[in-house]
Parts: sequence; structure tokens; C-alpha cells
Amino acid sequence: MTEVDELVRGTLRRHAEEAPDGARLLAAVHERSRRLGRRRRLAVAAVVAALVVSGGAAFAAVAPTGGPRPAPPAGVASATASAPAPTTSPTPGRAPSSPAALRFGSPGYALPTFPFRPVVTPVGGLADPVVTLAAGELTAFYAARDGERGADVTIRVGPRTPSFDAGPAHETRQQVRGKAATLRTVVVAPANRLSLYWLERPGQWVRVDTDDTLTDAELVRLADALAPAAVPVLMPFRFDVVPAGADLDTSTRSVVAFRPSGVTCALRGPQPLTGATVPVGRYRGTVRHTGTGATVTVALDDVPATLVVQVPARYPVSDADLVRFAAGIQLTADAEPGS
Amino acid sequence: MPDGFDEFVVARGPALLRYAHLLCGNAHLAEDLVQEVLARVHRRWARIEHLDAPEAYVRRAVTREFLSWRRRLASREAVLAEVPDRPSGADPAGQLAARDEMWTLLAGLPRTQRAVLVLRFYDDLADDQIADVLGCAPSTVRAHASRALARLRSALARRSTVEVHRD
Repeated sequence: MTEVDELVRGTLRRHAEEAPDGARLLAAVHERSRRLGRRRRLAVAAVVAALVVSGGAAFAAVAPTGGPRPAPPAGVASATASAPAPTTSPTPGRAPSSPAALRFGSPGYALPTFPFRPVVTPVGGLADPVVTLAAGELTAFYAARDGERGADVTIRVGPRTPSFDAGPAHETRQQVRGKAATLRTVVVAPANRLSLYWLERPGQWVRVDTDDTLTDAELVRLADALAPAAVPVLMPFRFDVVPAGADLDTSTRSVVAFRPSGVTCALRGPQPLTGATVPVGRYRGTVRHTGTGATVTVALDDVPATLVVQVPARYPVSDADLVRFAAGIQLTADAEPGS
Repeated sequence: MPDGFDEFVVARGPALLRYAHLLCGNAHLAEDLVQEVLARVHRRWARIEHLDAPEAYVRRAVTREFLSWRRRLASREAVLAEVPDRPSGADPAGQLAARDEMWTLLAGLPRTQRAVLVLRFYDDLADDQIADVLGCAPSTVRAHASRALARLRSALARRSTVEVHRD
């Protein structure tokens, strides 16, 4: 074994111990499973709406002035930065050669919408969609209303040709919406995976995934009958300020990430704070700087939950700016803590 | 739902989280990944628990879900050249820093290469077992591992060269 091999092994073993302990994993999985089994709704309990991270801004169901603007209905992760005016200065004392300091400004990105919806309902029914954004690509997840008889359906829209794991698969040519499409079947227990994909228009690939609960013909029919729509991506937070020039990169029920900075905001279950605390809006939090970046952890005692904001080390940020950013994050009805 | 599922999650959940954490390089994403896979597994547990190796099935699912998150970690994958400052010397603190540097470099690898390294060096799987998890040929696994290690060596060598020039 070479020195690099040993270094990789040691690194992995050391960082494995930094993984979440899984104390709440079972509860979180059951909760997520229930959501899948039921009709997953975009709007959860209205009581969540009352949960506000910062005391300064009251929660409202509509976007605040200066908030994200709706994207065009056919938009596919069409966020465009408006380069908001910077409002902060670099951390004092940084060397001139340091990477550019993180700056914050009013949100200027477009809120993406998913451009299709199925109008053919397969056996078992489909619940309302949950639209998420991952690394700039939109996914609409439709849970089967009847988990025993039906199958979940996932539709993805993106600018790149769909890619798949290497491995044995059977492919057939199909015709979908007047375009040449590929139906890919992977034989795997306990249910074969079906993926149907085609180029809807230049720069827009559509991919529909399900399992063999649906027949090939049923899947093609479902895809064939997709109708134009503008289903909004779920957004667990609203932001008073965001990293300047930021686009939304990821938005799930518990995580929002921005590009290109890689700033991540995550809602987690309640955790006790350790170390000295500082006020963050009407809550208390801790601020830490490590080799990998800066982290502010906020105890949302009345939710209860914990907000964790991380800024990569390559973007220096002052404690004051970090705290101000965290204090301006408000939970929406889409928010649900991860474990 | 069968109690066997709960027992499985309690017994094997922490190990799955450690595995996912090494794949993602991010605790939040690891939790999302494992929760998502287990929630889907939950609904089909009655069929999965009768497989020969349910855990292997779940690990495969975690791995493939991770690989299907296209560009989710794109910003991290783009920073291979930006490694943190590393103290010189062979002291424990220096070794620790070297591991932090390696962690950053691992985060910059393409995900399939990273998955191969995790399966080989953390799970101690043989190449044919890794191939089974990834659904590819053992020769492909060897190619991924070779490219990944070469890339890491190259990055470390560049780093060392820069330090020598600084000295």
C-alpha cells in the first residue's frame, strides 16, 4: 500500500467519525416514509408558518419586497443573478491575496418552477408533486397515493443528456410527444427500474423514472401526455439577504445551497449548543471557524429545530455578517428539519 | 410495517450514515441521502428483507442515489486545486492537517471515483465487490481507482512543489 493509499484510508476513517450519529434517523425515516405514503403536500401545517428565525420580520405567505421573483413558467432552473449591491466589507486583517470575501445583498434570483405535470394518472394514483432543486436541476416527485398498488413517479428536467449508472440495462426506442425517446429497463430486485427520456427541445431533456409496477406502455402514455405547468420549487427558507450574485443551487425541505459560493443553510432537529453563544435575531447561536469554513448554529427553541449555516473557507466572512445572514433566514411552510 | 425494518435502521443506520458522509463529504446531504433511500426502502421492506443481503441492497441504493445526484456537489468538485494551507513536518498535527487536505482533495474528485475509493479504503471491498455495488465491470473499478489516486498524487505533488518554492 502506498503512502497516498494510507493517507486516503486514514482520512476516510477519521472523517467517518464526524458523520451524524443517527440518533433521530429512525424517526426521520418514518416521517419521510409517511410523507411518501400519503399525499405529499407542498403546504404543511400552518403552524410552521409562525416560526420565524429572526424577530425582525414577521412571516408572510408571500414573498417579501425584494424577494425572489417568479420564474417564467417554462423555466428550468432559470435562476439569473441580478448582482445585488454588496452590503458588507471583507473581514479586516485578511491578506490581499485571500479569496474574495463573501458579500451579501437582497435576493435577486428567480424562483424556479417545474414546467410539466402529468395528466394521465396511473394505477394507484399520484399525490401532489414535490418539486426540488438539486445542483440547479429540477425534480418533480409524485408519490403513489396507493403505495401497495401504485408506483412513485419522478420527472426530471435539465439541460444535459440523462446519465445512468454503468451496468446491464435493456433499452428500446419509443416515440414520446412526437420525439424519439429511449426506454431503459434495469432488472433489479425488488422491482425493475424504468427510465424514459427524450430531448423535448434543444437544451431541455426530460426523464421520467418509475418501476415496473407500471407497464412500458403505461409509462409512455404518462410521458406522452405531460402538460405544460409551472409548479413552484419548494423553498424552506426566505432570506432577508443572500450571498451577492447568488443563484439557487439546491432547495429541499431542509437544505438550501447557493452557487457559486457553496453557502449552505440546513434545518436540523434540535441540538444543544456548545460553547459561547451570541444573539442571532431573537435566538441564540454559536459561530465557529474551522479549516473547512465558518459555521453558525442557531437553536430555534420554539420550533424546535436547529439552523446550521455553513460558508466554505474559500469565502472569508466576518462573524457579524454571518450572524446577520443567519438572523435574516425565515422558515416557510415547506420547511421540515432533517434528522 | 414490519418491525424488522426498525431493527435494521437502528442497527445499521449509523453505519449507513458514516458511509454516506464519506460519499457526500457533507453531513446534511448524507442525512438527506440516507433518509431518502431508507424511506423508499421502508415501503418495500417486506420484499427487500427476504433478499440474501438486505444491507448490501440498501448500500447499493445509497451509492446509486448519490451518483444520481448530478452536479449536486459541483461547486465542491471544482475546487481541487484549492487546498488549505498545510503545516510541514511529520508531527501529529502535520499529519492531521495532511488528512484535512486529503479530505478536501477527495471532495474534488468525480463522484464515481470518490465512491470507488470509499468502497476500497473504507469498506475494504475487493474490486469485484465494488463493481457489484456500482453496477460496472471490475476493470472499470480499477480504472476509476487508478485515475483517482493519480489525481490525488498529482495534486499533492503540486502542493509540495509550491511549498518548496515558498521555502
